[in-house]
Amino acid sequence: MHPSHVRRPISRREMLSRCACGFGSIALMGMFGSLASCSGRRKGLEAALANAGGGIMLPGHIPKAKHIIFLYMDGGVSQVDSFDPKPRLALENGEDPASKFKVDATQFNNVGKILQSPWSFQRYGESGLEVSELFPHIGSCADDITVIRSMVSNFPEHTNANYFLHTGSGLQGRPSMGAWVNYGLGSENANLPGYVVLDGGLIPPGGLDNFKNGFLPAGFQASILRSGPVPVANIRPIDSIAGIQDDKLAYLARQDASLLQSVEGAGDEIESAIRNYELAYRMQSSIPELTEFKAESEATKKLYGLDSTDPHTRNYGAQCLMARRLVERGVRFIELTCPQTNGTDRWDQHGNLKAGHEANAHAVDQPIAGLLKDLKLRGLLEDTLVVWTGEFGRTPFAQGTDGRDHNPSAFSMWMAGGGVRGGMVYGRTDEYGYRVEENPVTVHDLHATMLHLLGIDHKQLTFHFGGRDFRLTDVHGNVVHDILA
Amino acid sequence: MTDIYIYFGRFHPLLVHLPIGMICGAILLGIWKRFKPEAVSYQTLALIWTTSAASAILSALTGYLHANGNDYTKESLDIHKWSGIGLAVLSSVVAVIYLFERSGLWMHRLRTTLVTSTFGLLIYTGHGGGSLTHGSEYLSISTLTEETPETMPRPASIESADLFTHAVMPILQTKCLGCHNASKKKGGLLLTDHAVILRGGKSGVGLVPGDPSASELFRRVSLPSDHKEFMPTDGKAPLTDDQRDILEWWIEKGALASMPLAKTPPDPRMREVLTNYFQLNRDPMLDMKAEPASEDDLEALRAAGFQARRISSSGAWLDVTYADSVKPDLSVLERVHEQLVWLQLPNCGLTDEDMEDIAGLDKLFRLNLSQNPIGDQGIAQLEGLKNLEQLNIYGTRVTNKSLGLLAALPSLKKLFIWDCPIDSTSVVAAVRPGLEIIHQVR
Repeated sequence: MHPSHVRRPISRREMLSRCACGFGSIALMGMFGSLASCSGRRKGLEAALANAGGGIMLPGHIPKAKHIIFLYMDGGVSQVDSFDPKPRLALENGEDPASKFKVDATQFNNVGKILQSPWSFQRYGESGLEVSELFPHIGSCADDITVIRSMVSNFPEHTNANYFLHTGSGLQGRPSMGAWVNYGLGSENANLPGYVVLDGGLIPPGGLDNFKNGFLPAGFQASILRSGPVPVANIRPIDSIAGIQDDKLAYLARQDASLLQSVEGAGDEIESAIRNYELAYRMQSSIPELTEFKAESEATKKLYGLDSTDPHTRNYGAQCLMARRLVERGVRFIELTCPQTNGTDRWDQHGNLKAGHEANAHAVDQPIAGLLKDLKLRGLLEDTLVVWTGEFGRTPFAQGTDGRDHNPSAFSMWMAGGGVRGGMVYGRTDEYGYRVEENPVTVHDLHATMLHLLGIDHKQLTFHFGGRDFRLTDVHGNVVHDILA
Repeated sequence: MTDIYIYFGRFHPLLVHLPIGMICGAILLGIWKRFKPEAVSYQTLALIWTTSAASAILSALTGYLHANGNDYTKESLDIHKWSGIGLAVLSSVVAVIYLFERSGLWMHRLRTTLVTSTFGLLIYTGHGGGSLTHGSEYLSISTLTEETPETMPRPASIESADLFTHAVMPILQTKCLGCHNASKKKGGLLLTDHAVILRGGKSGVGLVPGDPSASELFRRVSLPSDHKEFMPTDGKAPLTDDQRDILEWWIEKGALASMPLAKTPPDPRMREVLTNYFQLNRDPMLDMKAEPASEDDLEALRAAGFQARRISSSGAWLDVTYADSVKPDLSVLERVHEQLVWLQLPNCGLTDEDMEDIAGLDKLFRLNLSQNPIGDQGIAQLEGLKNLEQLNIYGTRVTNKSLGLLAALPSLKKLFIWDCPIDSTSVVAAVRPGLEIIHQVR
């Protein structure tokens, strides 16, 4: 029996077993510390805050655009049926493509015959730009848009191609271009996020990672606004008594502040969370004001097709009108995803090309033209760049009998406003619209050009992460100067 | 002349730098020996002078071969040839003297005289060679005092330009005159004025007015760049596509010594090429200079609810936006009026009286006053905005009366007046070249 008041010296074994947890904690702390520093998060956040609103501008260069509206045509629009007419397809309709040119492996390996476009093309405007009858309304804006017929992607499959188009990398996890733009320029409106995705009903394959901040501070990721009466969850305050919400938020802010002090070195998530709370609070007043179209005239609503008999046109029209309202409020980057039309899987018509493309085109054509015209009337097209593109194109030959497979070797896109010329075609594909023959434009080139128009040198917009500087354009990208006004 | 001579002759421009460097080195060592006799031995000097002499002889030999393969004017070529041979001989004599290693006052004086003359001859020969290759105007004081072509005044408009004086001659000057001038005249071709350009060189008539494809000058510059007869030769910067187009169009239109563009109006494509060449589309904002706004001023702007953003890291230009609907205090803008180029004040309840604060912001290039209850009285105060290129007053109360005044703003290029009490006929009447008025859905 050992009297408890007599202190005996602690044994070596006892000492180790008692302190094991403590040693572990010390080691863990060290590991956390080094993680934070080697990931460069801390440094990156400081750089981001110092950078926001300047520092990466091109000297001697006057930016043209302040906002980007990215009209994402999810699934891949067929170029030979939209903006790249190929009369030869009609001449050789039904012939074997392999007898004409080398056919690459396709996604579904179900190569059919050469398939002519079911739609005719018409020349529009003073420029005589050729647009298919799928897009009569966009055709009426021909003199304001520049079509690039020589786009190429690196990926023949949706998810990778989506990541590539949105983040400049085919793999998941990199910051989206909208996050980069806000990191580079900062927001113009303290009451709204700088990067907004208007969800028309379809989140593209690859999911929300297309719109994330990646290694950039969390505050730069997209905020997603749904269509319908409640665009953001909990956007209407639930506390009925005035002041209660303020008190709750103040309490949260105090808690967060003390937590932030105690975790020196790894505070990006906490700081971002604090900012998100603050922004969310301000959005409770700014969002309802934004999403009510009471102030819009009937003529304006009609312009966007809000009176259409097609519910998908009305849906997309509301998204387009919302995009204009966001531009007016200083939001930097707005992406519109596609509506879910009846019986189609996005623009991804592996079969039933005619019905599928027509349903999708009908949903977006009038709203997009309305957006361009409305922006122009209000002087907003001067500093708003509108970008219309899918993630890749489609084959000029059939998949099966009435579809088209993926084609990353050539696709068409267009841009309008924000310092690009109008009524112009850039680049050329071969006689089948299968491969690019002249002036290929890569996704990196597209990103470089978009940043250039915003006044940002894509080579200077970097973020230090994991031991090296990253760019949206990686080590690639050339500005397509020929399309600049 | 067989190719092997031409081949070795072309080593001349490489080899000549050896004697220049080595003789200078030898002279420096000689001077050092004056002050520290034990630091440099006669053997060292003898060795370096011998190699100098050998390289000078080699240079002279290759130079002799090089001279025959090229079209230099005989006079300046002769001077360079004989001074080169002289230098080879003189440096050999110096080398021999050092090899004999004689001392004594006479010997010393002889050496000093010979070394000094060698140095003089070296400079003279080098200068002659440089003038042959690059032309005598290549490196001169006038480079510092005279205006270079880049800073030469550009024509203010297409209509005020002369095709030959403002476009063709400057192109020839930058791309061709290095070799086709009075002292060099390669291929017997001079391009210094209109008459000699037409005359051409050894290969025949220079130009056939009206027929670019038959014109030797144009044929040479438009060959594939790896063609043997391509000009400019030897990897010098070729003509740009625009420069080639200008040259072609000039010949097509008659290749006259004076072609005012007002009388020979270019088609839309040529107009674009010339606009680029004359840099007429250069944004005038780039020429605006100002000190960056102070942090205090920016802070004052922010405190008043404005968002201020520097447009470019190199410039002080400010882009200021007011995004609220409560009427702002505009007087604070005066603090940054030197830097303020873009100003957005949409839909914030501004009235005619508030335009007083805008009237003084004469550095503005873009102004957005849309959806404010402003009328003609307010607009009348904007008369002094001489730099203003874009004015957005859609959704205001401005009427037909203001159109004349607005169209008279000297720099105005775009005017947005949709949703104002203004009718189409007045708009049509107010439109002038260079001004686009956006007033209705097309």
